[in-house]
Amino acid sequence: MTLHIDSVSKRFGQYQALDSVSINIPKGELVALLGPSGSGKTTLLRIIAGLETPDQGRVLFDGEDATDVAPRYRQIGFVFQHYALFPHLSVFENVAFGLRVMAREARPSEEQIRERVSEILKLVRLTNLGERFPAQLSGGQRQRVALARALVIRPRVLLLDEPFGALDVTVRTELRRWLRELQQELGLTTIFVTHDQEEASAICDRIAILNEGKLLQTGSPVDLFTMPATSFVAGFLGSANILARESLGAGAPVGISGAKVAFRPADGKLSTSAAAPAPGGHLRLSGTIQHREFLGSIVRYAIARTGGEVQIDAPFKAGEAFIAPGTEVAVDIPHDALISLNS
Amino acid sequence: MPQRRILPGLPLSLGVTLVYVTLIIALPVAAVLLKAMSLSLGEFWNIVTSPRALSTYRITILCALAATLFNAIFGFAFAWVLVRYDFPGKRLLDTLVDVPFALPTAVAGVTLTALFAKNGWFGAPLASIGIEVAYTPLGIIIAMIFTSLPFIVRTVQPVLEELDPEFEDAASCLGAGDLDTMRRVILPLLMPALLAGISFAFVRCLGEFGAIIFIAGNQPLSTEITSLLAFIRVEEFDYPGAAAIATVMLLASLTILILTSLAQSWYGRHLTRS
Repeated sequence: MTLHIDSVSKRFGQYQALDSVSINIPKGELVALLGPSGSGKTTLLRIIAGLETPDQGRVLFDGEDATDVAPRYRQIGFVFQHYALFPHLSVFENVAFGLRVMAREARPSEEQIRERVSEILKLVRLTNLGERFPAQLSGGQRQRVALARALVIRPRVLLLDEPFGALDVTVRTELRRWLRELQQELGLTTIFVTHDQEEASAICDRIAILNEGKLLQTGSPVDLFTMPATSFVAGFLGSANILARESLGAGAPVGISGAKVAFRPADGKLSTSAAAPAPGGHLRLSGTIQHREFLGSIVRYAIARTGGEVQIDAPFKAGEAFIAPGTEVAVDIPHDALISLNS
Repeated sequence: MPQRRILPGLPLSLGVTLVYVTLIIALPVAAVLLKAMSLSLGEFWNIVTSPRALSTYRITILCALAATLFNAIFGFAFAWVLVRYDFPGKRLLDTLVDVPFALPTAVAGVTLTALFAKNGWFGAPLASIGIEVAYTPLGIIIAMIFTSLPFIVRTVQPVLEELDPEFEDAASCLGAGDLDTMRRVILPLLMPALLAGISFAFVRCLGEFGAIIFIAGNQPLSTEITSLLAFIRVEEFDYPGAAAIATVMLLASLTILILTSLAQSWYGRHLTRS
């Protein structure tokens, strides 16, 4: 199902949770709503599910206005952040819930329910845990039960609120990969909310970045990483050095147009021989090493300079000495690694 | 590794608890049972199955059932309103729930009688449509409702506060209507608390005395409650007779409390959160 969100706004008292947000989500895409906490991403998800009503704007499912449709008639799969599994029902009955509450004409027979629940439990690899109760499961298992429960009603869209937030790092990376494969196998339009840019970049077709209720930019993870429009996006998706364009002085290359300029810490090349001229097609910044962090495969240097500190990631090679704090250095950045930012 | 606890050691705290329970609860109960045992089995049986006694059981149990049923529904709604909605005067309403706890039950009885007497504020209009409350079983039910309401509200309220509204959101996303959500999600999750509240309220109704005797009329065989019969026997210096009736009440209440506790642990067996 394709999903259109058409200039949706929502206010809670004095707090503007969403400010005229519009997104189109084509059928079968996995889209992440990415933003810091309080950016409105969960509110947007709840509006899509019908759990909140927008003050303004519309939500369209396959071109049909669904803004005023009650959640129970939307046929949407929702996986809650803390899963909201019914603690008094077994795994089997949790998953069967969506079938048992169907209108009598549409409700499958007991035998069909059994079949469909077993099928879904197999899909989420929980075949033997049907008799267990939520309190007896691990976090990852609960997450998969929540997913099974959402999938059993054959949802038109799957919505996930911080689906991996409550899990250990190892379980998280494994589950997100599995979720991506499952989502592609089912061809299910899926939206998930996260504040973790790595998670979003790793599995999504597209990312929508929200901050303070506004949609800042949407695009593929690669596009957002290489062509962020604003300093917020540049800083949120991976780390970035952001400089005011004036601070570059005469060294600013001609192609740069925006108010600010960004580059990734890995794109700058450090050299201690500040006397040698900058290679052609490079922007040179000079400063003093302030601080050094060893991060395994890279060494991150903070370089103090007039016009703002910059961070440079240098690849770590065993046996090579670190550059000592206080050393005067030059940073050379190729012109094509510089990103113009509007704000 | 030894665990540090706030209260001093098990022997001391358990000892204090046991002494307290013995002096305040077990000893009076034992006295009642001992007194009743001074009767022969035949005498005991005759007292507790006399027509007058049987009639008091019937009236007490039926009125208590009616009052508890009313309070189960109304008390649940009351707790729901207090937990789920915000409105001016909510704190005041919340405090008012405890009035029946705080008010001497005799005062409540006198007040209710004045209100529901044929010339009272509520009694007069009710009498004009042919409903008599004071000095009828209906009066007993109203007195019981008044004194037992807080038990339901105060047991359900904290559990409802802990009940995450996300369960309801999840149910509605899965296609459940309000009725299904109530029946399949909310009620089962509240059931242990609701059961406890219902049984406390019911047991309280069975034992209520002060609020009822003013409004009941106390006619033997029609509006006389069991606790009043026990009191009458005491007034007649028939202590064994009073003890025999008290024993019946005691056993009834204990049985209900034990059954409730069993039902609660059965319901709650999967609800433990990790």
